[in-house]
Amino acid sequence: MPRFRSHLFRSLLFCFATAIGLSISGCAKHESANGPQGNTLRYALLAEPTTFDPDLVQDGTTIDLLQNVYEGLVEWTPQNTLAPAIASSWTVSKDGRTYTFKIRPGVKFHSGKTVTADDVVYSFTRSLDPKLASPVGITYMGDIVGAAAFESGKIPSLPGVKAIDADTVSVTITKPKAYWINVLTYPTAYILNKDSVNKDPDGKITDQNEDGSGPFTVESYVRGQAVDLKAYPSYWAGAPKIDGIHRPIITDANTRHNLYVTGQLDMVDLSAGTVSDDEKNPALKDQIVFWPRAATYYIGLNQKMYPPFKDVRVRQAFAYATDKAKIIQLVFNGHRDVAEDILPEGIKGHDPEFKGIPYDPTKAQALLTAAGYPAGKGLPVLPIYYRESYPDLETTVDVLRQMYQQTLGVSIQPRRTEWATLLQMEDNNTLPCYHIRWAADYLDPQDYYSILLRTGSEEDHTGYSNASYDALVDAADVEQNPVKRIALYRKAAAIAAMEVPVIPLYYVKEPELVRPYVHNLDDSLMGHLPYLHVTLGP
Amino acid sequence: MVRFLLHRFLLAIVTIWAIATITFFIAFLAPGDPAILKFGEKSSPVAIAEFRRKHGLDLPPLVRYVHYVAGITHGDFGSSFQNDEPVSSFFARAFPKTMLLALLAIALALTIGVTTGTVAALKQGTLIDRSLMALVLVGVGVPNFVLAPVLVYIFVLTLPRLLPNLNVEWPPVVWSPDDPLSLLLPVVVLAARPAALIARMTRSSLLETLRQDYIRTARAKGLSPSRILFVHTFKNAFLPVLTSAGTAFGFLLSGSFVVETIFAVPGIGGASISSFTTRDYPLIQGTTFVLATIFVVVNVLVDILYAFFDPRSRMNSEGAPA
Repeated sequence: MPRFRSHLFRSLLFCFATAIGLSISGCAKHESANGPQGNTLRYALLAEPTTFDPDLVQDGTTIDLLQNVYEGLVEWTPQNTLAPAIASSWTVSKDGRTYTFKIRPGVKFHSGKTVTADDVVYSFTRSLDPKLASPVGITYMGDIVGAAAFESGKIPSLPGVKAIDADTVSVTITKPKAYWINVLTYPTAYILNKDSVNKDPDGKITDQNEDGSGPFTVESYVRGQAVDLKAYPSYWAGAPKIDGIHRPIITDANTRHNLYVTGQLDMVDLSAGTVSDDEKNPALKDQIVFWPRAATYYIGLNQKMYPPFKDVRVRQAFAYATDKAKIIQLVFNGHRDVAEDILPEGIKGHDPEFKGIPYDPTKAQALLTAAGYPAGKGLPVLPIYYRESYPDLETTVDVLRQMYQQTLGVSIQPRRTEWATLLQMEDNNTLPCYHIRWAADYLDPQDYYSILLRTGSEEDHTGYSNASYDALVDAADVEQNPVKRIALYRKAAAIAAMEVPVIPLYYVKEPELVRPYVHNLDDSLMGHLPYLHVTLGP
Repeated sequence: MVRFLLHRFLLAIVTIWAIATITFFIAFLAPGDPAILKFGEKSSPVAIAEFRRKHGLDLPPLVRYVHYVAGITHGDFGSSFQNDEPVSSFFARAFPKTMLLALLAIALALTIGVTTGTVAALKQGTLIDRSLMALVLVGVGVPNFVLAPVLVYIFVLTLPRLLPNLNVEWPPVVWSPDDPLSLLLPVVVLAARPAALIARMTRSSLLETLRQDYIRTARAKGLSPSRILFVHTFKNAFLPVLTSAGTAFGFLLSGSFVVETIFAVPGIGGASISSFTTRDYPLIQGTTFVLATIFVVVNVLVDILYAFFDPRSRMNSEGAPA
């Protein structure tokens, strides 16, 4: 049937050509230049912003966004110290309980209103308002006198915060806590404009009624797509050097990386998988930056769920059997620092000379034998729990499994666990052994030694308890003399290092690719600081 | 025909209700407290209590179920636990994007699939047939989480670099609302598997139909070959193709997590997967409900089309030919 075919083929060919034509047509410009695009910093958000309300925010991605829009009385510096922000100065009363802040003259909200002491009172009160029910208000502001009673609706106002005059405000806390002022860097303590908040019928803060006093304003937010920030020209410390920040919402790490490679982002986070590829790529290897972070990955040993851990010799044996340097080499190609102590480097109170338990397999075996488990005989199978979908954790636990099985003869079961389940199990103290990290809420040793390891602390999931350790950290928490205070924490740290409630593994560093034309990016252990000083150019 | 439609319609309602009920109660079986997940372990009990009250989590399951079903009847699926966005407005912004991709993908899949299948059928046993069927096998076998990065690697990362002087507009890395070219790769990835399935179905169905007596009769009567193919063969051979296209379209509408994540399309797929890890029940239940409804509706439509093309299929529900 030659006629049949030729006729038919022409029609089919036509269909096909139309389809291809349709797919290829539709042309629009898209840039692939390798320089900055205008004077706007392009940096992807890893997830949808959870909120625009500083009193409700909890996740790092959204905090990184909001810290450019709002600010508090004090702020972090690139040297990891506290600096005045909306407060130009402050004094502390002799009993260490009352802080008096002077408001910096001429600080204005984006709407143009001048920031006063009343705004501070309003903002601190709002963060504890039972009607707002902030999940973190009581966590960060709970030390203020009357906070708990006000938050639970027992009293109508917050007695601990008072406006003394238009530019002076005092805050009284329940007991002296040397680290307290640090919590004022957290978004719950950002200063808000009451008039703008009340523009929302429910008193919510959204992208529509944002009115901070930070260096950038919210220009636009399209759900699922991007947030754009614009420079605030009247910022008290001078206008930002860039015109704005474009933050497209890209949840896939590879896609973010592709955008960077094709010149559509100026900075991008790196997962460990791509770090090793990029190190081999001559075009990218010089653009990799490792940012140190105030976070420590460790192994928790729960003596309530795994009885052999009740014996300190067993815990020590595990510590001596842990070759941290090898883990860092195998999992991170050497790009992490061994954690000798649970407190990360860079935080005041960290001792770079301090040495924890070293890697010593012979000693590990001897301790295990002394504890009655020669070559691991009699030790029950030990499951190690870790969070799913983090390849670094998976590899680390696998390396640990081999180490512990070889050195100690104990049988290890890696247990990849979904995050929700893991959190719930940790809360119920039902994890016998777990690989997890602790990230600082603020840069103070109290956030590590007292919160993680003190008997009865909310975050103590190991069942560890030592009376002299508790006494040392309790004394340090309230000690007003900074030198004496650090000395007390160091003594406590030495006890914890030998008693091994946890085995610190390494300190966190966050790798990123940053274009060579991005300058003056301020960074602290808490993360990037506001992009106030960033410039783009050769 | 009316009785047939009524029967299908009632069956659809029962199916949708069953799905809504199962997705509601399955939430009670999963571990993990949405309040703890949202607020973290250190959060205030006041906040957790308020969160539970606001979302009705403090009520007994049966009362919540009644509220949930009552809400559905007037389109209220509650608000997302994570960012308070009403589920209905999430759909209003996300669904059109998924829908556009699905429509383009099914159109592309039908064009390529039917064309390929027809060519293969007409050239049965030749080299062309075998190579096309090998290609189809690849299309069925390669999952989209492999295909998408490969296409991105070739058309976004490599070719533009190797051929900088070629005067071609290369597709961008991610979807963008004002760049039609950005739809190309997601649509191609989404269309690949349905196109392959449709091609296979078209080929086998055509071959079977072309062997029928009435086609031989038509040929003997001297009808033109294209009339035989397009009028007499296609109408009958197309039924199974329609079914597989309908199913494929249903899947496409539920949004592809992989494609939407890789190309940063703010559609249904990408958001619904993150709602599972955060135990965002209103979003999970709302998404499942709407998608199941769409699926059921598409199936009913396919059934109706089937009945239109082939009156015999109406017999089952009516007991006698219509």
